[in-house]
Amino acid sequence: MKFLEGAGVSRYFGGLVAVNEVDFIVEKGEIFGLIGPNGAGKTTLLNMINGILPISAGKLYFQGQCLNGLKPHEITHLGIGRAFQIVRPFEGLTALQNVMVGGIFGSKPRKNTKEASRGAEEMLAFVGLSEKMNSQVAGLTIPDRKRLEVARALVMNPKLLLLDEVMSALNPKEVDAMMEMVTKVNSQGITVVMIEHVMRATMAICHRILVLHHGRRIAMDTPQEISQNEEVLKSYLGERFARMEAERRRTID
Amino acid sequence: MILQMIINGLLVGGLYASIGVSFSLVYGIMGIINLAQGTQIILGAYLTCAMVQFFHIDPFLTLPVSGFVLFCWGYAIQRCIINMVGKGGVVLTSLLTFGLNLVLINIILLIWNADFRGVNPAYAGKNFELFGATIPYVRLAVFFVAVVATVSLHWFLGHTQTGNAIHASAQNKRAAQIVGINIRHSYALTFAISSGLAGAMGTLYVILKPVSPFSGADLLMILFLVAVLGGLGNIPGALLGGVVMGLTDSFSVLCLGMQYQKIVLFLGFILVLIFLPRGFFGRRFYG
Amino acid sequence: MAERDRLGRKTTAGGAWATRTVFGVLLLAAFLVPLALRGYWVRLLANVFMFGILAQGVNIIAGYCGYLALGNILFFGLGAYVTAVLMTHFGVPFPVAFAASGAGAVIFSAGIGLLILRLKGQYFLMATLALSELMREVISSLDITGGGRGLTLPMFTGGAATVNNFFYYLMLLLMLACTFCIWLIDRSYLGLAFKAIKFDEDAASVMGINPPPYKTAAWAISSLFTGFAGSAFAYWMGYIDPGVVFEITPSIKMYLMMVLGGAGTVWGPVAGALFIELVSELAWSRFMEYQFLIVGSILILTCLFTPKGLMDLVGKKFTWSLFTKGIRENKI
Repeated sequence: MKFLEGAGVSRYFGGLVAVNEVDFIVEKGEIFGLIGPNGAGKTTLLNMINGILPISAGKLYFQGQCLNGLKPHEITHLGIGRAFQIVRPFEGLTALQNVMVGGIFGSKPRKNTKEASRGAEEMLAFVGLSEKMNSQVAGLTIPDRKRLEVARALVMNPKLLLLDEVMSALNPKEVDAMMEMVTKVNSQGITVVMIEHVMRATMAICHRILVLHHGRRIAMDTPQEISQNEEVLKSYLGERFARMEAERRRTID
Repeated sequence: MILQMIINGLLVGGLYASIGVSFSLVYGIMGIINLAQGTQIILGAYLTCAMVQFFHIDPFLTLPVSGFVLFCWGYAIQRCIINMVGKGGVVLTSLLTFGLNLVLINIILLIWNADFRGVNPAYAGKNFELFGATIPYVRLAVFFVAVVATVSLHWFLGHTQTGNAIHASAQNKRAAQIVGINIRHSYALTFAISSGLAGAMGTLYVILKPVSPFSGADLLMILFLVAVLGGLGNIPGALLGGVVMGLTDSFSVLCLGMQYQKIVLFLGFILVLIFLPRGFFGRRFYG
Repeated sequence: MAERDRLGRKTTAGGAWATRTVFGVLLLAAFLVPLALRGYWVRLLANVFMFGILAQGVNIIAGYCGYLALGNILFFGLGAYVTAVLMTHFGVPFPVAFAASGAGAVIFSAGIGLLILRLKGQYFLMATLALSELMREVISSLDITGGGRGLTLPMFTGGAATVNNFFYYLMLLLMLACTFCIWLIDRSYLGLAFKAIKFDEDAASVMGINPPPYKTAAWAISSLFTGFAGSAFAYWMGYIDPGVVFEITPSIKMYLMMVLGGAGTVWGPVAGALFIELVSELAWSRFMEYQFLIVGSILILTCLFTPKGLMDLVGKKFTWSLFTKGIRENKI
């Protein structure tokens, strides 16, 4: 039984094919990267995994269970947590309340508020937001919002965590902190699927990477292989990266 | 008899379509449910009545005037008021247009009081026969004007630079601003076009039917139904929605009688929302 | 040290004492009003409480859930007519008719809600408007409801003072019950779920909330109290017709009261009802022909300047920037 498996997954918007017959397998316990240029269909793929968008064709399986036709909350209850790219905190609530929503409703049966409140506090401590626990999220900075987004997903005790560009718009130091956090989460046995444009991070922490281009899968391999894959270099990483890679390899040799 | 009903339905359907389009446009571009749209149409109708009464001119000639007056009104309202709560979401903007509707009704009441008003051009009774069905010239003219207005609006949005700017501001606000589109202006223009169309359709409406200051509520239901049937925000869809609406209208009168016309309309709308909420074509984002 | 409740909100010990004292005094005063004031004021306040119930009704579905049930007056009419029909045609005593009105409203809203609340807010908004128009048309054309002529209910037996006091306490208790219900929701998981749905429904569902049942529950609670208010109103007036119970002004006033007082707060809508009803009675009841204009304009101004309600401004220093805060936050 595969942990997460996609077979011929496709999504059409009217005549536009956003995701085109993508096959992939995510193994239990790995950090699985999802990269590709803008509009390649990465976020659409994540949206199908957690049920926000219906799957147009193909099948998705999570631990042997078919995800087609399930509602988002049902998928969440199977153990899939999600952090959004455009951070979507509930603006009128405090940081703690935001995380509590996940704590209360994220697992079945529902947890009581007291228990969830304690869990949420621990989770905020884990992501380093303890001090801002009771401030309205409208006043949080971008890096704080990203961390809150991760906390909201983690508090649901997911088996699989979907991260959508949690490192974009962060400075190098903050990226390092986020990388450390993701590896720490992963070391606790949570499988991670992450979309990321920050190549430094993706190459460093992902075990395997899936590359999408115009909705198609053009590669799925380890970071080392990906960084040498001709097609990936041409369509996504670009000439400059290819030159840098060549340079790097030369100096190593 | 059936043919007569189909023709009646089609002819009034053209007008309904145009009304639906005016509502759908604002929703498609800005995501605003304009609850004052019904009363804006009524305002256009009252302007026509007033002009016909004062200047003794043909009601069709007043169409550009009522259209233009409502165009200016719409621009001002969007620019000065609705833009100010634009980011407040559908709750705030809907409440705002709800309040606006009330203000408009009161203005009409103050100027014209609560009586029903209509216009009655000399040629109102003239008609011709086609395959045994009677076709009044007035209804045919109303149909043509409404269709021409709708089609030219569609052309304007698709083929002019202003139209493109409006599209762009609907699809991506930030990007549109970056390429130098004044969002506030193109939103105001969108609302103005919608109001102007409503004013013009008010002229046509009052040629067919007398109106009271409270008729806006019924018109609001009609344009909800037309817009949802065609797919909320979808302009070509609204055309089809209008025709279906017109046919339903005339057949419900035929089969059930006048007093149930409204019940059929409201019930029909609820059923559409339950069974066909995305309309005939699905909600394609038409901006 | 600031204390916090289960949802992590600040409840300072000292502040709580002051609030509780003021609250207790107001409550006591509310119960003593009929002993001290003339019939006019008793009737006026009973009317305020009725609007308080209506405003709280829309507060649950629109203020907490973000679903604008603009046609909520339909439950007021439904409650009024269930009571009137049961009492005139079937000789049912008021308490039974009252309970039946609430039940009828809940059955109606839950049934329809399960069907249409799968949709997003803009469709729901249009649907409730259509439903209230439909209800009005159906009632106007049925025989059992007296059609457009209306129904005359059995008289409440007792002197004028007894009648006034009975409806005063009925409306007061209903309003308190409704507010207590909202207070409970506000501090429980239900309140969190409602607000999550209001702020971002997709994110809420990804966090494990299945929106339709919650939205339906919110609408059902809302309809229950609105139906009760309609029932009490019918018995109080002694005569109802479609024009009276489906009037356009109350259906907008209840939203005005909610927004002005503070949507999604426990006491805001009640404060809004008190403010609007008192001002309208004292100031603009003389200008009946401008009624729509005034209510409409206040609603527009409220949306522009205090979208979070007047309660949000309490205790802050009044400056120009506070005055224009609403516009600065929401303008495009």
